[in-house]
Amino acid sequence: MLIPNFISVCALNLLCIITVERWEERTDPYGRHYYVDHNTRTTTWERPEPLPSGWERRHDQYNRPYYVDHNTRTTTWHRPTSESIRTFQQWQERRQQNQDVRRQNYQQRYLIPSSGIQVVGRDLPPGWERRIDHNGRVYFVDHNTKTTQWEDPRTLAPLPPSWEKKVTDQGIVYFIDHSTKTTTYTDPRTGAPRYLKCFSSYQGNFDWRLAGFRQMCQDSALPGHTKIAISRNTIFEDSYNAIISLKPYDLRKRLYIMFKGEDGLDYGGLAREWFFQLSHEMLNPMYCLFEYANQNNYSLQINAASSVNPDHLKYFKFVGRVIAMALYHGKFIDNGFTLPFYKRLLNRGVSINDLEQVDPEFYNSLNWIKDNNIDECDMEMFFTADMEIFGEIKTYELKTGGSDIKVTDENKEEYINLMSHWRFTRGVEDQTKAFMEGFYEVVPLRWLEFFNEKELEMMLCGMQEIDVDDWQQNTVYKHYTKNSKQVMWFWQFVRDRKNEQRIRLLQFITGTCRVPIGGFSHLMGSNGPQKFCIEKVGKESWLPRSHTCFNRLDLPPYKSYDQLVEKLNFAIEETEGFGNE
Amino acid sequence: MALKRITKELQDLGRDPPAQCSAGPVGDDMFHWQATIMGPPDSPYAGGIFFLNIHFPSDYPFKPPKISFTTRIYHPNINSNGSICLDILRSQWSPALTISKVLLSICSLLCDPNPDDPLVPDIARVYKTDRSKYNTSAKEFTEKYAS
Repeated sequence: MLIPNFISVCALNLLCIITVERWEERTDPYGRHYYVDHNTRTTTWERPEPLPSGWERRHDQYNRPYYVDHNTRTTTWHRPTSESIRTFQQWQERRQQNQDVRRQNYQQRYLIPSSGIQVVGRDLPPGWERRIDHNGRVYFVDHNTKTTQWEDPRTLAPLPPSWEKKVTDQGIVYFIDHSTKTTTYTDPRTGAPRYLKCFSSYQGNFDWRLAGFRQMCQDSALPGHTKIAISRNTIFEDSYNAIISLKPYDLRKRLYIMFKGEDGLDYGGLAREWFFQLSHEMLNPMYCLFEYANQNNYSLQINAASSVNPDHLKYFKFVGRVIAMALYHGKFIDNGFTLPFYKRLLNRGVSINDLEQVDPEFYNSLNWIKDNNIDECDMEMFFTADMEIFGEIKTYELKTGGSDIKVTDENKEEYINLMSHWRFTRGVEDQTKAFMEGFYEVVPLRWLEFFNEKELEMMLCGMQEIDVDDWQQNTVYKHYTKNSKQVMWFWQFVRDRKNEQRIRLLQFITGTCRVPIGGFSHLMGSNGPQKFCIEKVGKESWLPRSHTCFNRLDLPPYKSYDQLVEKLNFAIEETEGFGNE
Repeated sequence: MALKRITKELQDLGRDPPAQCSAGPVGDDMFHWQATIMGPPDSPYAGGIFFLNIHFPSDYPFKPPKISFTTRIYHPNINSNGSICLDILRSQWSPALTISKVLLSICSLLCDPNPDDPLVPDIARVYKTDRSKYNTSAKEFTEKYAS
């Protein structure tokens, strides 16, 4: 009995060997050629060719064929061809180049202009000394109060007028407000909400509030440090495993990042590099956790189809933690989120106007319903909404019994509100919750209550020096020319501002504080590349308006430079939802 | 929302069909329709029957339907893939528009091409400079592909 069995096994093997390269060319009813692989019972349009050198075909436990690349020690389901390998190599090279540009761009970002611009030439305040610890790190001694700190006192916001910093006999720092003749242990630049409230109403207060936030982070820092060792090639997985197994308070300790196989002590530079690399990886839309807001808006939002990864909620919690860590440790992330996303993170409600940046078509249609009498159109709309995930369309009620409630001119306002809210939350509620959970563990929401979504974006993404010449050169005009009075005033306004205010103007116009990589000629709009455009619209009593999806500024024909400055300032500083505390 | 609205549009089409056009679902999938347009009599497309593919997005009517010709046609605003350059299918879409209205707009686009916003610049040039050549080519295409 053994022998026939043996023979049949041999025969089978032999058959396999013979048929390994057995392909057949066929023609479909439309006259197109295709190829049948009888081994795998699969068909393909591409003409088969022998595997490139270093590649091997194997089968997994379910007998599915896969391909091993011994050159790079990787595997893939797809049969490699010399062309696919060439394309992949080209893609990798281009990716590396892009990465280099991004890194360069990232290195130039800052929040507090400490990079020598304002500090150079300025002496330390009297009684201060700059010292270096045994690790080579710079720190600052305040001999007046006998305290030390890492931050350069020249970059910290000064105390408000009429305030004074003092030290008790026990060495505890306290503050005197001479105007009210009161004392407090709380630094007025930090957590004193009543004090900050009066600051929040005029511009230029961002530095103050930022310094307050920094102080709050510093005060809550625990002694010791947290070591995180990762390998560059598996930065996402390694970081995930490390971060998720640590306690939230450990993430607030000083970070020591180690890249495996590399020398280097982390005095902040490696942590910076880690945040850059990791944010680039974990926010990469290829992992399906996040997606671009739309075809031409590269700001990120949560992908409603993220559940393809069964562990997605854990990953969102992890990402939330890392984003909060970047904020806490004063580091930046490479890519950013949409403004409505930051708004939700700050627990502020989103409205129909926030839709314009994320889904202009949806926004236009909702707006149309708002502006027109819909009873005349018989649109057959109910309080329901549909969503498609993986080809399956499901209907959701916007409120109980919504499938029987028709939208009329009378109830359309409620409908528009429900619909706007639904558009932002559909399919991403659990993910958002997990993200926020991770985030708030590291940075509690109340620490951020004095910031709006635009400022949060700046804190996370950092600011870049804006090249006004480049901006002006890549600007087009509609119903204005580059020599129009108002246009010249506009550029004078831009040049007269500090960089932070220029960034705020950019945010107002384009919906993001990030300067496009490659400069203003690379600005993207809803229909592909779209240069910044200034259009003459309206009357001098109007406020300027922006269309973030078209990078367009509607600038009314103001009568004077002062009027233009007043109106532009008002439009930029008008921060919805922030005034009504 | 989309499904109810699409169902209503189908009923309205049955009750009050637009001239020269018809449309309806391909199979059980209400989000995928096929439409036909008869070439308008006063155009070089007269006598032809043109087929179109319609896909409704799940956000319909907040987003426009995706419509393309499956029959080849010689026209400055319709390319060889069947894509149509029509403002109401893009920026000028409004939720009050229906498939019936869109099909009628496509009919009038066949009668009156818009050569100033062309999808096929070559055809637009011929249309502007040599109208009889344009008519001949359009008729040839109609006879070859649409009859």
